[in-house]
Amino acid sequence: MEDLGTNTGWSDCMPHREVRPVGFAVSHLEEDWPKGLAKAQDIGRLAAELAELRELVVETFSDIRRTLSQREQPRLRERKTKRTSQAASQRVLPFLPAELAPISEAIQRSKTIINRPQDPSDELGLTCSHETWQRGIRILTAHAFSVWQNARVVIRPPVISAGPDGSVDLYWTAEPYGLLLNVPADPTQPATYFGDDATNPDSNRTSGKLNSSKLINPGVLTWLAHTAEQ
Amino acid sequence: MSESWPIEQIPDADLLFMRVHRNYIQNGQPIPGVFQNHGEGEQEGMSTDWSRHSTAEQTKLRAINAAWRGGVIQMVVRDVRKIPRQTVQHAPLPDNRAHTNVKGPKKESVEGTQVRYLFMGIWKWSIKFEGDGAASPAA
Repeated sequence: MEDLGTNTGWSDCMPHREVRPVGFAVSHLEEDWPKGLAKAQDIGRLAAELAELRELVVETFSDIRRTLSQREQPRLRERKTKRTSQAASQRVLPFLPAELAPISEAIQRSKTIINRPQDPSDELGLTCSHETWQRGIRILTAHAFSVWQNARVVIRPPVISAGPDGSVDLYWTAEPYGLLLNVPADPTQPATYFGDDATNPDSNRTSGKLNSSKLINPGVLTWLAHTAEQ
Repeated sequence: MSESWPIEQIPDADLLFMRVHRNYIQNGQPIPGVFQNHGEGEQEGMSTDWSRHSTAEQTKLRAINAAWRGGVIQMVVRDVRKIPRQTVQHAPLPDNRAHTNVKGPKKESVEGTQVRYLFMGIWKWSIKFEGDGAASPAA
């Protein structure tokens, strides 16, 4: 009989474990025993051997499962917490501290603008792609985090909405300051922004384009600091 | 299209009404994306109704789809004309004498972003939509 405890094909991929064969070690010649008795003894030994092997397989798979779960602990943890809004946002915003939770929540809510289904009663049909939304969110989080990191100030969450031609708008208002930042659907085009101070709109304003190679714009950064919660 | 009604000059002090679908109302205000042009060629522009020939309620009722839900905003013509490169042109339709186009760029480049930002500063509700938009968390 084949030695099941050593190098059979399926066991090669399992952790090495010494298995001592328990059946048929003793010679039992048919002529020494009545036929029926020998068969019954063989069946009994075979059953015992199978039971031991079954136990061994269960134990081995249990070990494998334990090892894998230890290796993949971070992924499994993320899965467990994925259902909460904060954790889902963290997949896009790995750096946002808890103090910026209002920003995370606004981002989470804004997902409804991505590939919004056509509404027959809606004449505009504003929507955006996941890529454009993500680009806008990256810009938002980079600026929110930078203001937080440098000044320990939390900016207000913007209105995140679909803009013209599949673009994404980030709109802030905090009287008297305001800012609109538009992220175009074409990733090769720079985001543009405009903001002013309603008490002095002609001389106190900011506008420009975001350099594609730099995620953070100093002009936007300064303006957003004005919109921080007082 | 406008043979039926004469094209008139619109005074600065008059109002323009515009429908805003509930999908585009967030935190009780329209989103900047509602300020954009429709149509092509001579008819390209942001569709509004002139207060001399329409009320806000009539503007609301002009929604083509019966399932339409939303509010109506108003803008003072003078304020619209102050926004860079925006012009107000009466463009009456056979079934809507009040129809008026606000022409001028409203997207792309810094100028487009500026224009939409400035529109966000001049509107007021004529008929407020009770409830937040479909895209908002409260919906």
